[in-house]
This record gives sequence, C-alpha cells and structure tokens, in this order.
Amino acid sequence: MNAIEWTYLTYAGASIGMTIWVARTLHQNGRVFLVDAFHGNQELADSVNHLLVVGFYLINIGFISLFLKTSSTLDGLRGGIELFSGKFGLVMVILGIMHFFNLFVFSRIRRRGQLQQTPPPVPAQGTLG
Amino acid sequence: MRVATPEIKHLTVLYDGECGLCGRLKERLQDEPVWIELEFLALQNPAVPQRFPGIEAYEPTRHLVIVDDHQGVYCAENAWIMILYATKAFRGLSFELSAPGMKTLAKEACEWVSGNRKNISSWCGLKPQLKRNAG
Repeated sequence: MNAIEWTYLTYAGASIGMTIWVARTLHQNGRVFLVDAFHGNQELADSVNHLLVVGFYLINIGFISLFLKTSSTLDGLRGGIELFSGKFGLVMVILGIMHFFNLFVFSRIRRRGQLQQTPPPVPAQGTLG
Repeated sequence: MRVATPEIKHLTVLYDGECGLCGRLKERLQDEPVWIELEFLALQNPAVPQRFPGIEAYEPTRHLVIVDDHQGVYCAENAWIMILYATKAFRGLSFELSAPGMKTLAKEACEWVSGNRKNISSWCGLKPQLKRNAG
C-alpha cells in the first residue's frame, strides 16, 4: 500500500471508531432522559433511543465516506499527517455538532413530556355556583 | 406560580360573537392540537346564562372569560394563559407569560386588545362570526 492508502485507512478507522464511541455514549446516557420524558415507559424510550442512534450512525458514517477522497498529492509523512489531521479534525467538529444536536433533541422531548403533566400556571379567579 | 388543582380536561371559552377578531382567533385555535379540550361558546348564545349562572359577575363582555370543568373561572390575561396552556404547541409559552414580569406585560396587552377588539376587527376587515353566519 502507498502513503495515500495508509492515510485513508487511518482516517476511516479513527473516524468510525470515534463515531462508535460517541454513539455509545449517547445511547447509554440519553436513555435516562428518554425514560423520564416518556413517563417511565422504558420500551418506548429504548425504541426512540435506538432510532436516534441509527440516524446518528447513518449521518456520520455517510459524511466520513463522502469526505474520504482527496485530490491533493501527499508530500511524505508530513503531508499524510496534515491530510489526516485536517479530515479527522472536521469529522470531530461534525460529531460534536451532531452530539449537541442530539442532546437538544433529548432535552426537547423531555421538556415536552414534563409540560404535559404540569398543573396550570395560573389559579382560577373564582368558581361558579 | 404553579397551582395544585384537580386535573382539567375541558375548558369553555366564552368569546364575543360580535367581534371579528375573536371569531378569527377561535377558528385558528380550533385547528390547534390540544391537551385540554376547548369548547367555544359565543356570549350571545342564549345557553350561556343557563349553563353558567352568575358568569356576568366576571364581566365576559369586557374581557375574555373561560370556565373549566370544575366551574373554575379565568378572566383576561389568565384566560389567555389557560388557552395557551391547553395547546400542545404553546404550553411552554403559558408558563413564560405567567412569570411575574411577563404577567404584567400580558395583562396590559390583553386589556388593550380586549378594549379595542372591535376597532382592530374593523382595521383588519374581520367580519363578526354572527354576521357572517347570518349573511
């Protein structure tokens, strides 16, 4: 294998490994939010959690694949490291944005679930009869 | 402030059937997904005094009045806050508007709109529902 192929392999391995780690973190820690949001309905929470993680994998691995190809020529080890660094850095930023977006979705679902059970914000000003 | 009350499942909104703006808002709210069922009853409906004896004490011709299924009455800005509370999309807003600073603002806005509802209807070319139905 030549240098560019080694760079591709390193980039793909590191990016997919990081995606798996972030997705597992999200899956494990997001479950608590969802169980609370769905009022203890663990089956529904697990289902939504799984669907969110599947979406997370599809978007991130899709982006990693599309972003793999480069037209630049490698200038030795330094060029390889720089190419890897640039691509892997962008994948990290996208993963971070996706992660915060998922947290936002979790908190919205939880807030909506909490609001449904919240008593009225104002009292009745009187009663009839 | 959150208030411990029995669960509310139904709200009757007593609106001015001779006000175009009120009729348009009613139509808009009827399309809104809700957590609490909203029933709209024009003040001019003869059934109002029979269904809600003593309601005139809350001045329903001056401002919006709502009655819940436990006969609790909400007026003016509290009535608007309860309508928002009933909807799925705006329940969060109902809590924001009931915060002390915002409630004063909501009260002023509701008083102004209620006091000028017929002028606003006229400016916006909104015909009263009762006239639309008659015509």
